[in-house]
Amino acid sequence: MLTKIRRWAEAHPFFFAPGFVGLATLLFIPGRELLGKGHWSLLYLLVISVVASVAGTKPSFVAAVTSFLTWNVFFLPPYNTFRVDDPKDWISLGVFLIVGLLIGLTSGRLREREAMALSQEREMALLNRLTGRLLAIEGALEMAETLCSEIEAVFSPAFIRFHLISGGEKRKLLFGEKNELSMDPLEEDFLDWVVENRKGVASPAPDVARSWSSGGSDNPASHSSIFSAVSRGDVFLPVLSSSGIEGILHVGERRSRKPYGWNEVQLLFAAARMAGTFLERSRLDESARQARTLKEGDKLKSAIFSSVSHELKTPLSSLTATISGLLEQDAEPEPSRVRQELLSVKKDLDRLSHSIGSLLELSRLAAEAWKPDLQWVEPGEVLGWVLFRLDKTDRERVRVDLSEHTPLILVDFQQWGRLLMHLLENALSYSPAGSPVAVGVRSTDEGFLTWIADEGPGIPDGEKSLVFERFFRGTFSNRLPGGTGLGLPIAMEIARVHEGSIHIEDNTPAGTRIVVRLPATHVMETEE
Amino acid sequence: MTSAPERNVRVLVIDDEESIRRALKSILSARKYEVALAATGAEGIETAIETNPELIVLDLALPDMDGQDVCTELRSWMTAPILILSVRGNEADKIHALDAGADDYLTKPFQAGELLARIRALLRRAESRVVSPPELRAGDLVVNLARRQVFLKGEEASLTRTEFEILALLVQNVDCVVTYRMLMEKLWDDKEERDPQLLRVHVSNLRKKIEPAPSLPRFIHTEPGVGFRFTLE
Repeated sequence: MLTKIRRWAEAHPFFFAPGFVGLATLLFIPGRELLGKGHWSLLYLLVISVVASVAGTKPSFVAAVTSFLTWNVFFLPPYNTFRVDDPKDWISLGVFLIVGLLIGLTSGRLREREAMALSQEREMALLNRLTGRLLAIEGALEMAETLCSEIEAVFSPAFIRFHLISGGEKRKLLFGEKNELSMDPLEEDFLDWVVENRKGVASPAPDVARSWSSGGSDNPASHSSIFSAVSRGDVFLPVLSSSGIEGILHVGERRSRKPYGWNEVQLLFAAARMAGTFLERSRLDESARQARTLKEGDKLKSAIFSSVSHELKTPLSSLTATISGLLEQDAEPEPSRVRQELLSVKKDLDRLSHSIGSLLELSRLAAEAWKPDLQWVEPGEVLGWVLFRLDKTDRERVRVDLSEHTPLILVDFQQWGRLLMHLLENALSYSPAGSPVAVGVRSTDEGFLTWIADEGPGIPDGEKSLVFERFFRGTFSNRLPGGTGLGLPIAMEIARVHEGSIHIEDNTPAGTRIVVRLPATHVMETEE
Repeated sequence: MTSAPERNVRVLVIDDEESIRRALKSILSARKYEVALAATGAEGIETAIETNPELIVLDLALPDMDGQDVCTELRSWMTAPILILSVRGNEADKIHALDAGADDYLTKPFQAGELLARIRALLRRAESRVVSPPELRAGDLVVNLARRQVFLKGEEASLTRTEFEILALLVQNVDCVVTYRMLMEKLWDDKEERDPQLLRVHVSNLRKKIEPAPSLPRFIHTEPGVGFRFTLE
């Protein structure tokens, strides 16, 4: 209620001040004879103080002048005229006017200081919040949304638009809507001007109290200095970074139509600069990442190349030898011998096929085509798909330990299947023929764990981290002649694109236990 | 498992790779299939018209035509099952071909046993379209389509209408892939209602009722990105 009165008083000072004095006078007149004329002047000073504290300097001046006149007319004899009988009263009147004006000036100043402190506090809070929130953000769009929502909360403008500038000049509206019907013919011109001059456009209300503190060449230009006779309430600000202009922040006029103050424009400018730094930083991060990927890709390509010659040539030469041997025999070979040779041919072919499959997978990895197609699936669905693809003898070695009820996991079905397949094939190959390989899952606070445990010789401590290197073949790799050394790195890469991880532990009493972790964000507990 | 068909079934192989054609011919001829070969899509369609095969093995990567277009063309006048050969990773092509009328797929490289099993399943299904399928028994599971009854370990399982419809379609196509689209078209007339995620939920519930160990499916396998396959193995 009080703030409403205050706001109305601020908006209409020349109605409020005389109105208030008039009201007081109506109350005072019936008691005119109870007090002396001097006492009434004191009460009028009280009225002036109230106006000053409620409405500020200018209204209090109006109140001082009005009180001066009413005191003279109604309380200094003769009543109801401007005439003053006693010449001493002229001195009282003069002193009254000066004191009244001084009261207004002082309390008005106090009020303005208070308002300034308040708005400074609000501005600091805005910048603080922005800094904090921008640190936790990744994309440009999210940044623009955050920035605009903070500005919206503080200034309530009619609209906010964030234009992104890429490739030096090209402008793209990143945030905010544009209503085609209410086309603003000058908007494009102003935007172009900002891009060209790297300066803002704003016509802030003059702010005597603080204009001294601002200054400098990057102050915004006024609308009318660009297009003469144009008067607008909106603000265009360049989003600058050390490498140039990153975008434009266009803040519409306040919904209350109150013009922006000089400091408020400065605050918006600071926020825009923060956005510029953010955009520059994320661009640099991205290019650093790309450079890294490129370098890794090169390393990968040469590794693939060197492995291709080995992995493909070995089975090929063995194939050639076996088959030419069969063909060149003088006598017809024994059927049992033919069968034996054919079995070895098939083994070589399996190895070839396996190597080619892994290399294809890795080259896709190198080409960064590994965007997982995420879906909620049941862990057993994927596991079933993997088991179904194993040889019967291998499948019979796998002991699956799944609880009746498992959560849903968010994975790319095929990729997750291939990850499990690589780990299972490794476990099956590196452990004695016929020995069991256990697979189980568990849902924990840290996420969803899948473990695969074998009873093989285990991995020496020194090699546990090396096995994730591409093409690394461990101490026991001779047990897996078909292995390319690519299985674990591929599995690792799949886990990585799912934001998960793989750890190697010793299995008790013997063997290796590989644990794959999916983060909790990829797990959904279902009812039951 | 390698029993020959009772009569000589005519199979047409359309593949541009000579070595694959040769291998398929030798595998199939040894099992008394009558094999016709074609190296291009156009030749394949021509040969299909001449020989009227009972099953077609079609490679998706042909020099002259898109495998998908060959499917559409063949489907316009014949009902014989089409088995697609594709390389791993081309999920989209596979799905398009299945939508265009192909019946199942096999990923290269494949083993002879897998190819023969697929062909047998497709031929069995083609025959059972004429004669209604008998009661299906798979381990502890008994599905009687006519009576709409399902028994697991001798006890009747109570399925919802949707679950039964899904199971029925899977069982009618035992060992063959059933695509999401086939299932959704059967379940929901209204296109707006067709929701793959909802279908997955129904399948999940169905598994809980008929699988001996629901968390590790044995009968209803997921074919990622494509659909489901009911297997007897």
